[in-house]
Amino acid sequence: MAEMHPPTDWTEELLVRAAMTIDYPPTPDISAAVRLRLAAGARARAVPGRARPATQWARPLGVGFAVVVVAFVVALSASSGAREAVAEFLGLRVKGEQIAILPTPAPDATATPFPSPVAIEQYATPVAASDLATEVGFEPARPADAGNLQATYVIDYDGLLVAVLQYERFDLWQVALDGGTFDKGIPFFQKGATVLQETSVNQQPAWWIAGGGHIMRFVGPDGTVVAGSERTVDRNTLVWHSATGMNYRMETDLSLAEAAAIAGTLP
Amino acid sequence: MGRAVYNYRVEATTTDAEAIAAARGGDQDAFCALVARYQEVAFRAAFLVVRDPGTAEDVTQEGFVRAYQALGSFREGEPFRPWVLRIVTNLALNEVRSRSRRRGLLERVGRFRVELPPLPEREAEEDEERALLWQAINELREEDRVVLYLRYFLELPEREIALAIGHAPGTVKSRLSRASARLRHVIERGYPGLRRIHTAGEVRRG
Repeated sequence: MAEMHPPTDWTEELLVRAAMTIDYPPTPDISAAVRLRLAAGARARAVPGRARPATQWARPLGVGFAVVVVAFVVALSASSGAREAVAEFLGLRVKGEQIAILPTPAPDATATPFPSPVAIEQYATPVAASDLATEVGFEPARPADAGNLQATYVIDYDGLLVAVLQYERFDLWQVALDGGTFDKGIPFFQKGATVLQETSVNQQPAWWIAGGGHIMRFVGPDGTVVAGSERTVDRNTLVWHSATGMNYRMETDLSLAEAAAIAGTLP
Repeated sequence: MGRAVYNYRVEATTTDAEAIAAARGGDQDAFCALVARYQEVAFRAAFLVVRDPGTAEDVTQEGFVRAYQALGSFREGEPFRPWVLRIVTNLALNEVRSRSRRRGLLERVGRFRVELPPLPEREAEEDEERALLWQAINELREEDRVVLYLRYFLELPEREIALAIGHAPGTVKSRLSRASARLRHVIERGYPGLRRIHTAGEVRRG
């Protein structure tokens, strides 16, 4: 086992002490159970009494996705805009954005039990505005007529660095595309419904997700979700790519017209 | 104390590389020797994530079975321990997520704030400090928690941490630093008493 370095600050020291005081349960004889499973071709679980299908771990996320796609198609196939959105969701990316939407609920439906939003401090690291460019590796743009910049944050999603500029009326997320990372939103229904609307910013295609209550996430060029990037947003969201190769996301309580006006001041 | 020291339960009469080569040839006994060699660290890694011994056992067992099935993709010359730890910790994280979904307590926002039962601990006089620290740790996103577990609780060297989390070795130091900074921020924002307790303890000890 590696020799620990002496703790360099009080946080590390707390961690080292916590590690030293954990009373781990005795390690069971995993090798015997594994031997049984390998001998049985790993078709069944080896631990009696905790029956769980061996395939549980491999449950494909795509199954849930497929259900969503089908339901969506059925619910919204009458609208041309919806057909376009469906095409995008199915991977026929039309304008560089991929947006998925859950089916419109029945009037008496119970809201989807998606997670509650959490404060930005719980997933982002505050940094000084003067250090932001150094932290993310690009110079974040600042919108005009946006009021005072209140705080700046960096989020590191497995190497995908996001700059977040927090203004009084909105949070502005910025990512340098550099290889084609896309912002992807999954609106989920609440009573009152989330509205997905195609729009534009500086002649670039944009999506407006109104009503709050949706999950945003980043998707890599290969279509895989960037680990850890899913987050519930309870405000309106405007998302677009700029001609300069930036992905912008504005989370706000402003209207589309107000948000688009501010967004239009960005390069 | 519970310092993480992993004594092999079987004599290391064969190297990992030899055992892996034999296992690739269908020698299940050779693979099970590897399991016995690393089951403790794998089980502890799973336990840190899922916080339940039975689930940790299931996850660890499943992880080794999957590792066996994936031996064809194992890179010759790489260490086995971080490779299997990566499989096990991913399964453990998946288990936490699906458990949260089942309970309807999911907070899927890049990390999971799951109400986890407290870990068993030995010394009562530091209960408050530990309880607060675990609450703070639980507020971190899962990537941060895992990298801290691997470094401080399982005491893996940085190179193995890099393999276990699937990132370049050069990024581990900064990831640890950021995770530690986030923990510090969480403590200062939500658990200032922890800092005070710690400082007072330092004064007493000093």
